[in-house]
Amino acid sequence: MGKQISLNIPGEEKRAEKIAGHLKSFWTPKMREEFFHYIETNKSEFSQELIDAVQILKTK
Amino acid sequence: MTILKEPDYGTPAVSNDQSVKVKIDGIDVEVPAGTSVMRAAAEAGIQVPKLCAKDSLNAFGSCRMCLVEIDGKKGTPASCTTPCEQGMVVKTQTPKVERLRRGVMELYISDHPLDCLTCPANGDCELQDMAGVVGLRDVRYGFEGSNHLNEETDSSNPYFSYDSSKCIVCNRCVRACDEIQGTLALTIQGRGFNSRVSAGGTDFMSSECVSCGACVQACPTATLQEKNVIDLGMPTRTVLTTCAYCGVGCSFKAELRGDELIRMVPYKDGGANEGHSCVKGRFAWGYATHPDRKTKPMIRQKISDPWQEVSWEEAISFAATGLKNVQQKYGKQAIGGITSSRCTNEEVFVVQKMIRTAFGNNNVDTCARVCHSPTGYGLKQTFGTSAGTQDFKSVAKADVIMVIGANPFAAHPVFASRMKKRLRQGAQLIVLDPRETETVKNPHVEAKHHLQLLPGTNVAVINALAHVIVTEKLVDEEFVKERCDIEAFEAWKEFIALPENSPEVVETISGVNAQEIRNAARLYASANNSAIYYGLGVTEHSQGSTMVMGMANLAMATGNIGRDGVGVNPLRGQNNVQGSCDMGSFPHEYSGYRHVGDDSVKELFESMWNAPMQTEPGLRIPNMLDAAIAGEFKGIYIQGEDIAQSDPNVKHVKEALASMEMVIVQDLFINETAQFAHVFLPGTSFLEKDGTFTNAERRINRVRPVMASKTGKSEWEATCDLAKAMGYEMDYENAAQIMDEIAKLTPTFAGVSFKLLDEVGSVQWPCNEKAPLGTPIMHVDQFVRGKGNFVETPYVPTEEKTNRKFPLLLTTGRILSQYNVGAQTRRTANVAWYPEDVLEIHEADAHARGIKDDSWVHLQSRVGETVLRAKISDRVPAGVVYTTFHYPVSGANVITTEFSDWATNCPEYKVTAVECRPSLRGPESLLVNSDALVGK
Repeated sequence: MGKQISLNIPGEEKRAEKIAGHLKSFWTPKMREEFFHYIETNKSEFSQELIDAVQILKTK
Repeated sequence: MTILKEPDYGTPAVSNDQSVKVKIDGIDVEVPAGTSVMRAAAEAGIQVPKLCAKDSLNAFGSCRMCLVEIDGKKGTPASCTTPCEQGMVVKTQTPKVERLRRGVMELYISDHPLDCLTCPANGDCELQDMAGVVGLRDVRYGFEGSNHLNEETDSSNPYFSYDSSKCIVCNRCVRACDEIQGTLALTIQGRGFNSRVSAGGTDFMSSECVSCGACVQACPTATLQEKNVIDLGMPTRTVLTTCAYCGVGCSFKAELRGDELIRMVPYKDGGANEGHSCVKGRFAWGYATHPDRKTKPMIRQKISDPWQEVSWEEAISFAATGLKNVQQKYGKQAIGGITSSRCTNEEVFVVQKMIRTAFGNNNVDTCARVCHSPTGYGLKQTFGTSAGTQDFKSVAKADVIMVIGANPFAAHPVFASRMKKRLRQGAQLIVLDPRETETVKNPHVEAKHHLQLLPGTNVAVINALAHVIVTEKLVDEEFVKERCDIEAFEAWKEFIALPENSPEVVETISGVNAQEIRNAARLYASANNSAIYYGLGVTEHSQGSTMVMGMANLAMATGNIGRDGVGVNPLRGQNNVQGSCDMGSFPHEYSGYRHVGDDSVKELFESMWNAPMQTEPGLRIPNMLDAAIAGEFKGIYIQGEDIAQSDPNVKHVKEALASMEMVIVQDLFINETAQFAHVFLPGTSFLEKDGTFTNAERRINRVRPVMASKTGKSEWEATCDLAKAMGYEMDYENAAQIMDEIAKLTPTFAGVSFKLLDEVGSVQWPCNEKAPLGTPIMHVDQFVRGKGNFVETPYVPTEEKTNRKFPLLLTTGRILSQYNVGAQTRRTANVAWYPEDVLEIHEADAHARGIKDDSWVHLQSRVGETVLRAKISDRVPAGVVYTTFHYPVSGANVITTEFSDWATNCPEYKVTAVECRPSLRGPESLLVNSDALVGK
């Protein structure tokens, strides 16, 4: 799902922020936590924007 | 209320800025130019006798009852076909016209059975009335001559009969079928004295008749008569209410005799339907009193135990204890609920309130999750609000109608009739659909462009249409500059002009001829008014939300927003999809689509509800099911939905339900989901409800109780009882009080009350201080969000791929006579039209597999298998198969997968890779074994 979101949120600018905003708006905290954990251990599977989006969420 | 008879002005109203003054029987009348003398007379309070005229039909001038005399004019013209002229002086009652009318009436009666006292239309027969009005006292010709009195009655239709012996050949039924319904199934066969109404030379059931009832309603005698009226007698009182089938939301007069519902008659002043109906709304309401209906609360400790009928108090206490125990064991987030689009706004509102207060979390979702959730997301991102832009009436001003992923002829028939009328007037039709549906081509309507795309390629095609508009400079620059966010537009323009979005590239992806895409785009962009109407063929994809934004981009780029005849309009599947979304049923939003993380909104709800609100989104339906299987979600309240039949990958749904410790189902019937329930709370049918539904055009309509609740409670009362048993005080005296609370908490509903609705009939939200009588068309001067927002919509292919094992693509939908999971329509005579789900398959695919028409076919996807009967059809292209999900026995959603829309999790019902082969046995042999799951 994270990958799907990343592919479907377009634009060059502020893409990571937009992805982060989507995850914050629609996912439960638990879903986000599980995703953070998964992405941490499987970084190579994901785009840089998605990894950046997770970082943005973690710092909020 | 006694029986409600709406006034009939004889001919349709005329819209004209110019008016003319006439004098009729000494009364001065001013009417729009072009108005008939008959209508002008009616507006002056003078009823000219008539038989073939009706104000829902164009004037015909055949019955010769409405003859009048006009000063300075020769003869006795028919008032229905004579337009008023300035200064005209008309006399409707003169010895001459009275004599002529009596003479004509004598001829009618000489060939009409004189059985008024035993006739089912006695008291509701215009011929009888007119015979009295013209003062007919005897028939000089006798009754022995040639006549039609011994003609046979056609009783083939389950709901009405055609008794030719009573027919006066007024043509009203034929014209109603032509002009109102647009099916043209009826005609007058024979000439002169032998002229008779005919359903195309066959009986009604074998004909093209779609059983909408327009002919029955138009008939002035008992020729076309509801069988219920024949069997039970004429109704004596009326309750105005709203249909509970599709999202058109037709207004009906429920006509009763005592407490027995005799018939449903579409209401002429109904804003959505203006007097028209379809086979479901008009006739298929018998499920409300079907013997399968459960009206007593029931409980059981385990789902393998038999049900035990108990009192409401015991059932509520059992349910509350179960939910509290779950929360104690697994945490506050371990329970949630699902609201229903079949229930009223008020019923839905209290369920989401109960979840946010008594349950203490935001784990509320609604069945719109699996249908139109992408509409909410996509239109909010682009326009600023989660709803369609127009009223239904607007289609009458459209010059080009683009229907995308919808088949209104089958699923929204009353809207389709409006659309067909406009198409017959010359509007052009573009359809995007993998199938050649009735909307694409039928004997009377044919799309100018049918973009027959492969399932799953919507976004590629909408981008190609936009590409043509941008690269051929068809953009409405002035509109975009004035109304839209220019920065977003420029970014979108650059994206859409990329070669990857060109029709030539998209042809290789979608299978749609590039030139056809170019021509369709030019047609859409160049018309004065182009309107988009869409359905679940847009939303139920992995890119459903992207496609909604793609359509919004297209409308903004061409300036087709903010006036009559244009817009982007979702055709909602169920009666209250719009309302259930409006009422705060999503886990991230309160009523009025305000995010749970918004502090000011949170404070408003906390102060009003006197309970702490959570600021994080809750679980969506698929999240709830996944969490259940993971052992983290253990209790659910399901209001009027059958997720074990309607949701994708049914096996997964059933496993999730079976793993829960407290499942509460509120429904009319023991449906598939209730097989997994511990508590069954009997629900009320729409005939028992008091509240409101909001249709696809944002129209809030009253639903009034036609009969007393068969369960002893309103559904909202049961919800309040459960909330109280959970520890949260929730009390209302009536449904009107709930609406008052909705209005206080929801800016777009601020002006709505039952009192207002009772006064004005219906309103379309926003209804507030700025728009006290509602808003038929949105985004008129500016978008709700301010500037329209163009969003880039890259095409991302679905992960559901065909391969050697599953080489065909299955797409699903519904048909005219059945509805959703069929719980209602399967319990009516509508089964006569569609007794089982079938698999439409192209001849080439069938031949390659040795599949014969009407034989059993085994259908398999990577998640499940079923058996259906094959229907070889050229409506589907080779490589695509199609079925419906109306019958649990064939269980189409056993096949569909858990792939879903990236933004909203709306399931991708429309794209499933499958294979099929001949089967010797029917579907019973492969039913998902619920018994094993429930431990029986």
